[in-house]
Amino acid sequence: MDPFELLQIPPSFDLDLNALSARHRELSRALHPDRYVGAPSAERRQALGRAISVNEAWRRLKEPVSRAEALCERYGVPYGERAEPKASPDWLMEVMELREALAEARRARDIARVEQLTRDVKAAREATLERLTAHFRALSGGHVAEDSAAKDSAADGAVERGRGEEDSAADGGASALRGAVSHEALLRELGKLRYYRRFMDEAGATLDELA
Amino acid sequence: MLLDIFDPKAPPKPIGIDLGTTNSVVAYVRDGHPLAITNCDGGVLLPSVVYYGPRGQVLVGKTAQSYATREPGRTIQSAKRYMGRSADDPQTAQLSAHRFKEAGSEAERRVVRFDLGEEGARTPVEISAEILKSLRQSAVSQLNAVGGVVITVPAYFDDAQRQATKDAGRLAGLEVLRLLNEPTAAALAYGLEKRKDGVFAVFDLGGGTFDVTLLRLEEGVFQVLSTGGDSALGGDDMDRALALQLLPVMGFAVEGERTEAPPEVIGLALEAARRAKHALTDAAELDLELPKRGGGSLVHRVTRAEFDALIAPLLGRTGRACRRALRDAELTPEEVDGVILVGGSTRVPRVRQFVAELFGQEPLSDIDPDLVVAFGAAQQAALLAESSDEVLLLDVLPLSLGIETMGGGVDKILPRNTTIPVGARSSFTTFADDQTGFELHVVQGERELAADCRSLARFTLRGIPPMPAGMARLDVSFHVDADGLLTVLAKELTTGLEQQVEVVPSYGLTDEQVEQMLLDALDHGEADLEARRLADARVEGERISKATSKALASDADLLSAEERALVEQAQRELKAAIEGSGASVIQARIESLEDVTHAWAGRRMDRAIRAVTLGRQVGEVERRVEHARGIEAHLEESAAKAAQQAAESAGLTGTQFDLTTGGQAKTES
Repeated sequence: MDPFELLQIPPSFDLDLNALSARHRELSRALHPDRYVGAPSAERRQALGRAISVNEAWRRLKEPVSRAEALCERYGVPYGERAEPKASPDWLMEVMELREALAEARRARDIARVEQLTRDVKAAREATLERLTAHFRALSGGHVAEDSAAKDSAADGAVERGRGEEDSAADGGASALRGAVSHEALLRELGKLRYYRRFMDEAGATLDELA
Repeated sequence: MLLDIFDPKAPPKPIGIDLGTTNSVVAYVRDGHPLAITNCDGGVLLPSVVYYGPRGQVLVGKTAQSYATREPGRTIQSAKRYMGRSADDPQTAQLSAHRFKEAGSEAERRVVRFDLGEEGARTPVEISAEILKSLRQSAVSQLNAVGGVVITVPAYFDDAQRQATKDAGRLAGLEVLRLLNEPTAAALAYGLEKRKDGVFAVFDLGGGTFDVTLLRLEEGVFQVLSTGGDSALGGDDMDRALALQLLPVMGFAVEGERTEAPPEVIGLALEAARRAKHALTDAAELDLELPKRGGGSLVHRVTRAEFDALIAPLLGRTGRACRRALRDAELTPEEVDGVILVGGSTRVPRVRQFVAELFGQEPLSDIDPDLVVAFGAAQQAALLAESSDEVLLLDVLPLSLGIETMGGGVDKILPRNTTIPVGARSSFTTFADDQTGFELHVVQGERELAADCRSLARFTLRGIPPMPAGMARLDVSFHVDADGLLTVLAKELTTGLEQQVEVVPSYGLTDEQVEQMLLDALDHGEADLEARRLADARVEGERISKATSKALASDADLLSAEERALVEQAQRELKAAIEGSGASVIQARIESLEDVTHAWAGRRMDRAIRAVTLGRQVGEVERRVEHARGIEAHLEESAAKAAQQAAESAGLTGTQFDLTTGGQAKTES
């Protein structure tokens, strides 16, 4: 079931995480198994099933990659290995550079460098998040024109702050905003977001190892 | 000490038990405050030691401890370290005065057994059950009747270790309401006392386990953000590290964790190390008198600086776990509002200093670190018994769950730090033509190779009709309940043949084995068993009848007249069956009552959701009103709105939240 419907949260990519958590707490108060300890077993099972659905929906919406996937499902955008476009050469180059930089820092046991890389990727990830927000706004068919033009420039700024993002994605984002809904551009951003998540995991593991 | 007035009709009291590696504590709540119960030793800390004497004699606590140096083989200490572990676990190879039984069969390999010589062998579950029985006895003698129990476990315990703890509770004749993570219990005890919202870190270094948990306390909800640790790291390791230094001084060669010293000498060295550790909490140095090989004794000086250097690698491991937990929670040390110390090992000055440096603040320890976990467990037990909705604990899965893939890798199904209860579903297909079976291997842990993770269960599905590769579909669903325990169900869907698969746990006792142990514990066999079944059925029946009455009092308006008649009829029949003497009749009546209350239960959950949602909406309206215009002008409006919403939710009108998995609780207007 659609996690937004289940939690009764208005669908959007840049949702208010505090409000989301508050909603989760609220529903947990009503459905958590602790509330049903003395209840008949059938009722306990029923409450458990519902608490599990609520936690599952919350988990999907909390994390940006799964949130984006939930929105794709909602708007009928196919995603996954077969549906997504091949990575662009620029992006592949960036991935390779990042990976090498991390491997290098690991060899040199340079904790500061790993931390710097993590900060860089965080910034690039922010930019991707903003572009995805714009894509999903466009998909939801809301007010696109002026509002997101401002967003677009904000996103470009973030790209520059990030480490030399390639231009094609930003262009793709802009074209989506012009109304011609391009799933390809959206899916490229989603692919990046997945990679950034993986990079952060690897950087974290590296920090563990070096500490 | 105040004594409770003896009242034979007093309702059973819920209790909380901290089943520790070194000491165990039982506590209960009186007038809203947790109190530790005096145990068989006359104190509140019961040493987690069990002595198996000749002719089936079993001693627990200090008296058992007094046998530790004389008969180390029959005196089991730190059994918790072996919970849920197999006979060939690396733990069994560490320096210890215990002897382990060689595993003969495959079934025996799944559980560690302590070799007690003529007294046979015991599993850690049975040993823990003896400790729990003793604590239960102490509680019964003070409170007269004991209700459900909350037992604490290290947050980092995996599925097998949790299951073993629950089995021990069952074996001790306790109704286990919940397994609660130790750091969460400690946070609950602090949170309920201080009533302050914020982010807390709990650093729990016990005798044998280490946990770190980060949680946010907000409006009575204790939300665990992340947890990490090591279920085999604690004060015991400090003792061992020092004992390995003392043995050569005493004249016994040591190589790694192996030594030529006999168990009695190892026991003495470990005991001396423990004494030194305790003394060095206050003293800077200490002269230990040690027995010498071949007779006589010698004096050996141990300084705090030496001890601190010995434990540095252990602290390094705790530091790594803390940093990872912070990262998982996306927090920096500065964002932590308070650090809570738990566990006897946090008395070591160097440990305190280390924690203060790590989090950049002085840790809190105003509740006794030896009692705080039992206090939290008792408070949770009291909250559960009264189904209070003021306080709620939202805990997490400590270690990722996954399935072994074709190449020996792991396909993660539920990541660590996922809020529980939680479920996930995965689909698998055949990879060869005419494949008629699936074999799945469920593992727990963070490593990339299945072989490096902890094996939880294997299961096989047979009898799939021959089909081309990729045609058959196996649907596997995982449920992790609020105790952190996993259930796996698998179904083959293509053929319409919905086959449930039996999961064989990789470690621990099977349900049948626990059942058998329970039977063995009964002295008179069949008649006792029937009486016990009847007593259990009556208790269950009473509970359900009571719950039904309570629901009728508050939510009868959610039933139609016909439905209500059916519920009342079923309840009368159940009451009649409880008066009778057939356990199976009671069971049948319970099921009938559950059948006619099922849809109603769903509606009551919807109402509970409405109530919490409404509570927030009213609050929001009030806040907005205060900011915008005069309060008076809008108080009326918000009250009217609330009244309208209350009216809506009271009746069956308006949209119902549909949060069911099967959609069975959807109600009509």
